[in-house]
Amino acid sequence: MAKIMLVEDDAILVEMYQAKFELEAHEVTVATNGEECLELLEGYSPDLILLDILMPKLNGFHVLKEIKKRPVLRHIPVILLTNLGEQEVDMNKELAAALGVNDYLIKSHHTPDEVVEKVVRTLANN
Amino acid sequence: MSDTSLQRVDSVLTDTSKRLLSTHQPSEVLRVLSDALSQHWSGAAVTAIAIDGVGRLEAKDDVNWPKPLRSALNYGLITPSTPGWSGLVEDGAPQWLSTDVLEQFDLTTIDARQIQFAGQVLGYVIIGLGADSGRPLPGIVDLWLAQAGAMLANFELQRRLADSTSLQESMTSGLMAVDHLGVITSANRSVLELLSGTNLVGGKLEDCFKEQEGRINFDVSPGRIATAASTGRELTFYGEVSEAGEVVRHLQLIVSPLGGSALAGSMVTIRDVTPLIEKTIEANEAVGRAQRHTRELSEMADIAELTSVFGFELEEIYNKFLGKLASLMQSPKAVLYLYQPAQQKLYFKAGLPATDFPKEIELSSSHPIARAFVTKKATTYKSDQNELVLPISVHSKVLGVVCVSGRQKVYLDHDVRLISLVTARLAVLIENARLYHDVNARRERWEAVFQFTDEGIVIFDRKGLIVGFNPASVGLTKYSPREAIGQHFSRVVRIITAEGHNLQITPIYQVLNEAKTLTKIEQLIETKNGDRIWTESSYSPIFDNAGRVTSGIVIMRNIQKDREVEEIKSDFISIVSHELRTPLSAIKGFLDMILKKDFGSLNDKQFHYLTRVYQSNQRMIDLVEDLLDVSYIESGKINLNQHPIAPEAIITDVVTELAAKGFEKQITLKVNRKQRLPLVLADDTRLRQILVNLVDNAIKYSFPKSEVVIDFKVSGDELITTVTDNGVGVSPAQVDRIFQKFGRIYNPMSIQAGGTGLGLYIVKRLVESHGGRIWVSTRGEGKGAKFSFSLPVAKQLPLI
Repeated sequence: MAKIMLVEDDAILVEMYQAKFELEAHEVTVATNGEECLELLEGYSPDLILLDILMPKLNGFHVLKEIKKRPVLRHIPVILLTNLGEQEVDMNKELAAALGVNDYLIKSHHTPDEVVEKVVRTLANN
Repeated sequence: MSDTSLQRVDSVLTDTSKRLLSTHQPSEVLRVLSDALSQHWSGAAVTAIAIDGVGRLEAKDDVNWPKPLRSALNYGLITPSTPGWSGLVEDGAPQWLSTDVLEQFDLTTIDARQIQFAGQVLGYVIIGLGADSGRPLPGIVDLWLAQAGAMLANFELQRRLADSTSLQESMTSGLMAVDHLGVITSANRSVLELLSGTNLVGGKLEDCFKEQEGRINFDVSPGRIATAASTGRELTFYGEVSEAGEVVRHLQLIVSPLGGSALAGSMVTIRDVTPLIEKTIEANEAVGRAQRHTRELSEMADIAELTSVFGFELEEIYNKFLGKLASLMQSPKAVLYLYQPAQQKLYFKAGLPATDFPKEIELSSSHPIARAFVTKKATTYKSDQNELVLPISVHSKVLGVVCVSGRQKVYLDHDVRLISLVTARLAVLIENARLYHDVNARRERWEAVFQFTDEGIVIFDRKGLIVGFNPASVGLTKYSPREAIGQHFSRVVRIITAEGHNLQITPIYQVLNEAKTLTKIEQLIETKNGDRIWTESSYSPIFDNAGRVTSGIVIMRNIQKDREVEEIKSDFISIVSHELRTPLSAIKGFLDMILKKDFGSLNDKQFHYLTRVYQSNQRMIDLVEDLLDVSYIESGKINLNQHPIAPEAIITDVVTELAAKGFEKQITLKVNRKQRLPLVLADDTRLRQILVNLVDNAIKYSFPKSEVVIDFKVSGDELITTVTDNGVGVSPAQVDRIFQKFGRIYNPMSIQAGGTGLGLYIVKRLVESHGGRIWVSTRGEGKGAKFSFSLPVAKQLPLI
């Protein structure tokens, strides 16, 4: 069992990923935007963060930068989960790598099963 | 005196007279005379000398005479300058015969006698008498001398007559002697020839010319010629001899009085002066021509001067030219027509008089002006007056026609040449004026463009200094023309990088030094007030006639708004794709969980149909993906990170990924690689995408239980990868369309195979973005297909 933080603004997707992770017996904390995510992280330390990029208020990259700035949070693996086009993904990949992101998933390319699998593998590698 | 001596004297006397009468020339007379004298004086030395009409002497020589006379006789010529001559001229004893001489020749006396006729000395007889010479009978010697004189005079007269006759007859001039009554007393042969008369002698001079009237026309009447003799003055007349209506000969008639008195009659000389008259006429004509040329030259000079005076006002040029032309050609009428290509007609431009001509002439008409224009040839013709029509052309382009008319005389080649010279000038003038108007109009148009276009136009000289700066440039850079002109281009149009650094290198050097044209380059410029504007600029050199770059021009368009729009569009695509993917992801995720029975079991029908929903959803996801790719490719926004990569790893990945898909259809994927592949210049993500598409297609269209083979070949600087399948193949008709967007709709097999219809189009564009090519070959429908693409091989970097 792992503590997963899901940062996602789309309620249906939140419901979907939450259902899957809970089915797999993981604990999911949800933040629906960047600001909320950072607020929650003040008093909470998840095992892994699944982070959306395009969100209202603070976007995923800003959140990522903040996380990496904070020593207590820096070690937490982050997987970017996005529905941006591949072109943007390509452009952002370098930035993401520089910011120490662990993986980069496109939502429509992967089933919830595959996402869980990635998360489990990343946690095991860590 | 004895009988015998008397008989002898008598016989000598008569014999001598007879002999003298039968002589034929003066020397014969002299010989007969000296023979007779020496016989008469036995033993006397006698010589006879005759003087001819011009003072020459003929001698009969029997004796050795003293030297002075001897030498004269030897020459056969004694003239008054001959030494000893003076001794001969006196009748009596010659002074040069001294006593010594007489002794030397055993002579006692010398007697010299003159041979005379009518008081004129015709010769001499010199007689040397010895002591035994008898006395001559008085009167006999005188008789002989008189007879000899008569004979010599006769010969002299005969000679003179013969001379004068032959002289007259051999003269080409006609000579007639006319007596004081006007009767012709003699005429030589030339008179007969010149006057074609028969025997004129004995006729009246007046009648002679009256007879000739009609054939010979003198400048005065025949009567006047006849009375001319009586005036006592020499008068000259002229006449023309006509044959068949044409003058064939000119005659000069000079009537000169003879002997200074009217009674003495007159001499009429007739000369054929045809060559002289012709020469005179020719000379007069030459003078006339010279005068005309002078006048023409001065007119031409006037015309040449017009060029500088007129400027470029065409109407004025036309009218003045026609005026000059008319005066040059001495033609009261002149007209100018010019051709209008648009209407295919000749239009009246100017005329003298201004109202006498049709306003336009159809090219197809038979009007001589239209004909001259069409045939490009000068023509002369006669209507109610003589006309000369001449095309006006410059550089073999015919501009129009000039026509002069109304002159009495026919226009000659000379006129055509002259008018050609003038019209050539006119043509150049018209052409120049047209060019001037054209250039002016163009300049005005260009000026308008320069002033009112939205695009900034900057013109710079060879050194890069600004010489032209239009209002739109002011709008772009915020510099006024006063600030910009004379400044270096790079100081006014400040090109900066996206980061805001000044770009030191401006493209104008490529334009000026390398004569390069640069089109539509996007440049960020900083304005005078520090704003940054995106521009799209085109640079071009400006050449002179010799092809040298003299300056350059930049046309700048403000694309700041376009850029912003582009960004919005780009964002729009991103947002749309994001917004589409989100619900698609949710459908995909929930269905996946349901199908994996995360929420409980499903009956068979539910499972089957939900699987169909899942597949349809997946197709939609793929379509969104491909559409996104197409929009990136077409907007030129595709970012290729091309670098040298080893293709093996990517190929292995792709084959591994797709092997499962092949397995379902029992299709074997085979990679034919015998040696290490060279590095290629490619973006690894895109190379993967290309390969996935081609191999995936190959599997889709293969017949079950067949093989898909991937081959490689290095050709020049390219690596050619070929994916071969054994499947439905491609028909020749499809070959052209297969790489088009949604090209697969022409293939009946493709619907079954699924896919978006954009795959091969994206692959083609991706390959081409890499600098490669893609093509398909097929052995026909049902016989499989071969897709090949090339990628540039990365050059081996030298080891350092």
